[in-house]
Amino acid sequence: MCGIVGLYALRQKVPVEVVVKALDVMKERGTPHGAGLALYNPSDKPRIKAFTRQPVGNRYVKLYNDLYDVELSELIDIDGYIYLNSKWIDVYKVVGWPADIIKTYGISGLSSNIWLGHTRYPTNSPGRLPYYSHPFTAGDVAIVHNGDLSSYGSNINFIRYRAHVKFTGNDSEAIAYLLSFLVRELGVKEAVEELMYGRRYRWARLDGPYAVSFIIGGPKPVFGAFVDPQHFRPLYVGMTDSMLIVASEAAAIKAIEPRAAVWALRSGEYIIAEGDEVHGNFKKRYVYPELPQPPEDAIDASQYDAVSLAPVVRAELQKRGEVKVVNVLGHRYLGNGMSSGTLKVWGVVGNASANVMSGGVYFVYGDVQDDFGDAMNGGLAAIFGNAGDAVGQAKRGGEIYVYGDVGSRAAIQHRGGVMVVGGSAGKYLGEYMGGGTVVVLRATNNEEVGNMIGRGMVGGEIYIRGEVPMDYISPVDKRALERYAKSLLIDGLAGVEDYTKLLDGAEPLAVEQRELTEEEIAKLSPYITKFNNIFNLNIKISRDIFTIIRPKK
Amino acid sequence: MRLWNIYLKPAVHRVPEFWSHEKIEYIRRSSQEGVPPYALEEAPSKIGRLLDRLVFKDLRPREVNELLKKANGLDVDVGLDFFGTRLSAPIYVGDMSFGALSGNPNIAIAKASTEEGVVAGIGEGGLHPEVAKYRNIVVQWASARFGMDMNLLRAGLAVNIKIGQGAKPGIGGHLPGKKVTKIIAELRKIPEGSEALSPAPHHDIYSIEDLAQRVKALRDLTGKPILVKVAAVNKIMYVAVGVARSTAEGIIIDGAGAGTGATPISVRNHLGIPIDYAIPVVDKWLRENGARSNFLVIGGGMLYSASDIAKLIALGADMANIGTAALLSFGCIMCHSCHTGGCPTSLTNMIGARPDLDIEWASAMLRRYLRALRLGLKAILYSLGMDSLKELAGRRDLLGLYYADEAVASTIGVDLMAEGEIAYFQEYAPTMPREVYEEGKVPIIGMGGVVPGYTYPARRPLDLLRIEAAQVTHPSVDPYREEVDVRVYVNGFTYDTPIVVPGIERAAVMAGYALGALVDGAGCPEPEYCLSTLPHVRVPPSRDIEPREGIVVIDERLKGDAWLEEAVALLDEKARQAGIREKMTIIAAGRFSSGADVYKLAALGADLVEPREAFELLASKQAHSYAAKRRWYENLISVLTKELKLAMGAGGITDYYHMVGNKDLLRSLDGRIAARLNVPVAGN
Repeated sequence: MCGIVGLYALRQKVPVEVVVKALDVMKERGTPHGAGLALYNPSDKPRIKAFTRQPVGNRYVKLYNDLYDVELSELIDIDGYIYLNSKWIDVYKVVGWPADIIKTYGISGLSSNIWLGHTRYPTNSPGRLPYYSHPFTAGDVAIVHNGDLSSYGSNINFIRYRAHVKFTGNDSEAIAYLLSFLVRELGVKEAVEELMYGRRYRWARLDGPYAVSFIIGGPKPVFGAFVDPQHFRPLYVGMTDSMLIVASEAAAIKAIEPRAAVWALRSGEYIIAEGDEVHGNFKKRYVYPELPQPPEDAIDASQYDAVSLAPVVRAELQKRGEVKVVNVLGHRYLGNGMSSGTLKVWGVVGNASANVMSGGVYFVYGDVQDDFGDAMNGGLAAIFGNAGDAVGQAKRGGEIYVYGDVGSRAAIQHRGGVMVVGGSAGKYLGEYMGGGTVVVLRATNNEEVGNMIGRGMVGGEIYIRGEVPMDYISPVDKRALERYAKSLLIDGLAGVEDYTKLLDGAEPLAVEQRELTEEEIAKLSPYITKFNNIFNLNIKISRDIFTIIRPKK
Repeated sequence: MRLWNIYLKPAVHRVPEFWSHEKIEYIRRSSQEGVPPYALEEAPSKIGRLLDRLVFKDLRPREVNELLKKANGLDVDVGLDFFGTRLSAPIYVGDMSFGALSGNPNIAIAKASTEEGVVAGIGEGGLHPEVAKYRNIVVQWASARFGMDMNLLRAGLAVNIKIGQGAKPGIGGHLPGKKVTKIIAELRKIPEGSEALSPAPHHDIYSIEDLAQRVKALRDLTGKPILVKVAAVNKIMYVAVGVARSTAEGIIIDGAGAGTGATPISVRNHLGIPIDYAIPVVDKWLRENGARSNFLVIGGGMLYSASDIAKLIALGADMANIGTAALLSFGCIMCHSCHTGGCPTSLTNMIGARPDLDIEWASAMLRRYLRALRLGLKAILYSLGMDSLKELAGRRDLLGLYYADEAVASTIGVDLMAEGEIAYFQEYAPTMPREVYEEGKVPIIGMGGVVPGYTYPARRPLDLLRIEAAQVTHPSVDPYREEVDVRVYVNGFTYDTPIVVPGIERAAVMAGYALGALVDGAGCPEPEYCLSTLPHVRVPPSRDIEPREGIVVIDERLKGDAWLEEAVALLDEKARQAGIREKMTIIAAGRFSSGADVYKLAALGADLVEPREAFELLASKQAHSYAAKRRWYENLISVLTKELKLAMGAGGITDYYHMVGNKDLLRSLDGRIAARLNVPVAGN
């Protein structure tokens, strides 16, 4: 569920309005059913805040109906829900849109070095009460979460007898308690790793989709973010000399800091900021070509909200055959159903664009977010930047050229046409692929492609420059296979030499690592030439080792 | 060329299931006469669906049934507005695709539905040109995007985003290459003879806000209303509220027991909840969240009569989804062989393998059946003193529930008229299909109708528990291609499967060792694989087992005074309270035989599970050699593990430990069993 943003500024305090602006860019990810903010804001004594049905004390805000947000001077038994008890962190939650937080609590101009923000799309709990709005805290730990844990029941089992608190039943709250407990036991880095990969505690690991940003309060606060190993949720990072920003959409980061270097976290990556240090298992990947200047006579996307630009572009394409758009910031569905003409776009193209495209030429000067080119069956799209997850899903014709990187599950169910990627690709490249050709050049970014390549691949071919480690492709558990072979030996059912046969039989894909044949070069050349021409590059494919992946006949 | 236009005798089943000869006869008579045999049943039933136990409190069935003869002349309106098209009855003939059905049945359904003034979903197999001629169709956007183009999207009255179906919630599809014939390939726009895979989730929809994105994208592209089809999973109320918030115009909810072309048996029988549990809670949640008005709720899964439709609407639906019953109206004999391609009634067979279905005959039969349902509805509505369907929607107060428990009655919000039990038990021997032990294949079946303890006898309390699957709020995972980790750790040693193999004979011991399973016996090549070498205690199922560190085997063979289910759940809970759960290993051994059973016992609290019955069944079969026997055991272990992984993946669980003791993944159809196992009643 939801859109999240997290911000860590070294030198300047950032006002609340900036955080709300970033959330507003992600309006399509939210609803009026919940929003909230957390900030680092040290105080002499703990802030204790609760939602109650009756006003308590004299510091309270009447929310609506019979609900009050009260601040207590000490921890007392009240008829309500305490959502904050920390000297370091402050939290504001509403049922409403992000802008309602400022109005409801009159916090205009409030500023901090560290912020978390959340706009909510409720999944597993009602959207009628601010109890369920993010951020959630556990002691000095505050988190915002986009996702829906499939491990909720077992995570709650783990903390129920350790935290001894009343739970609202919201899965995100469980993350706050787990993180708080694990940080105490293991420190921040190990705690995050335990949540994502852990084996130390049986029931502390998170499962299902999650993208989380957190603050750990204290005299030296820690800020961080992490995304699930399947990359079921998006999480982008933006960086400048003095600022680290994370958000569910690249466009939200650009809204805070247009000059930030923005890239997507890959499956299972995390990033942590403490003092002026940033660390984690993430890689910085920031890949852009020279971009042409935006033209004067273009449609100005900033005049439209995220969903209303698409029909305007479609109508203009039909009328004029050539359309240019500037200032695109997460606008969705651009070029969907396009069958002819030329579309040129400057900025960050929003989710689910170029879907069911059947013809024409589509140039993006900037990044595209998730699910670009879904069910595409013709035409040409070129991205002068990077693409999010599932680019070219179920594409059965046409060409996609990407200057930089593509995210997880690129070319999933790809059935025809060509996709050429100048940089690298995330996990699950070519999953369920049924046909067509995918080339990953690793030229603009020579990073290894994520693992789980070609899972469920039944047709087509993947070319990746360089020698991809075999266990990134093979689904076979060698340890298990060796034990199996040994058991056959013990029973006298097979000889030692049969292991290779066994191994070979278990591999579903035919993988070769070698230079391309002349035939292959001839086949790929027209597309590589086109790629080079579009992006003004000079990449050659002869005399380099490629990893070539095809299903077994 | 000869066309197929006759009824064959319905198939006979070893254990009675939902689609009985009586029900098939109801449909056939309706299809022949255009009038149903009756509108309301004489009395509530002591076993079966909630729909069979529900009555309209103020109606006398006999009087209503008398009305049938003149129902045509009654001035009541059982139609409704379907996004600007007036339907004659609240019926959606649902989403059977070309490929699952063999062409002519698809045409017959579109023709009959349009001519009779109801609406038909065409499924995901592309737009058949003969189907495209009919107006009252709904096209589908499914995970594989088969045949997707603007031509397809522009057809029909609405677009339906298919997230899941009742017969296989959270499970993907696979049409083998040999079935992808020329015409199927053309319409699906894939190469002839290629494997046609449908991923379990849409890989652009991992959450509710992703769904909203797709709903709006399709509306932007087509200008048409968007429906979302989901399976009735345990947490269907969250799904439904999410779908309503996504701005979709409606939801199609497919309950457990619904039909299909092919699904793993263990999935079909154990995942998701029946439609009569789902609809009332969905209606209630939508109302409480202010999301019910202008939102169409269509419910389906084992529906066949006018009485079913009327009750479902009173429970809170707007329309009923009829699938299997439509096939029964033109000849299905419920032989469960759809997936084989050898359908004896020309409905799901390989095209060209049999005489084609007679479209004229089939559509006429379906038309009369639809007419009969309409007449039945008219009679019921008239008897209730209502002029239009709208007045009936959500009137749970008009219904009374017989022979159930208070927990179930209050969940669905209907008065309990007489106490009774939902669960019904009957002893029968389990069977093991040959493909399990000879080929190591998860057994697949066509059609639905089997919900243990509900429309099919249960053998033990475990059968009444329903497994959670993911729809929309988080993605399901495909265990055949993605990571689902079922390794377990005991005393620092890793086993590759949580299935414990009874060491009945050497072949079983070696098969267990070969596949990295713990063997309940002796003689393993490496001692860690044999339970005999590990310190453990073995106790009978009881409510009084005290938690202790180390391995505890709760073994049903030792008798005991409690259900195994209960003993496991209690011990897990007690150990957690005592803070020693992580230092314990609970093994549940007993009389059960499928991967779904393993899942349920794990979710109740077992770390490892020993399905003794399955292995004993195999032990009693004669193999021609030791090698063959060992192979059989290996195949069985592998199938049980795959079934477990399928159920886990369906719920989006990628690590076995996330299910151990995670009762949140289970719901009980029966209130008494729910209370004893501390599992919520379905619908909660």
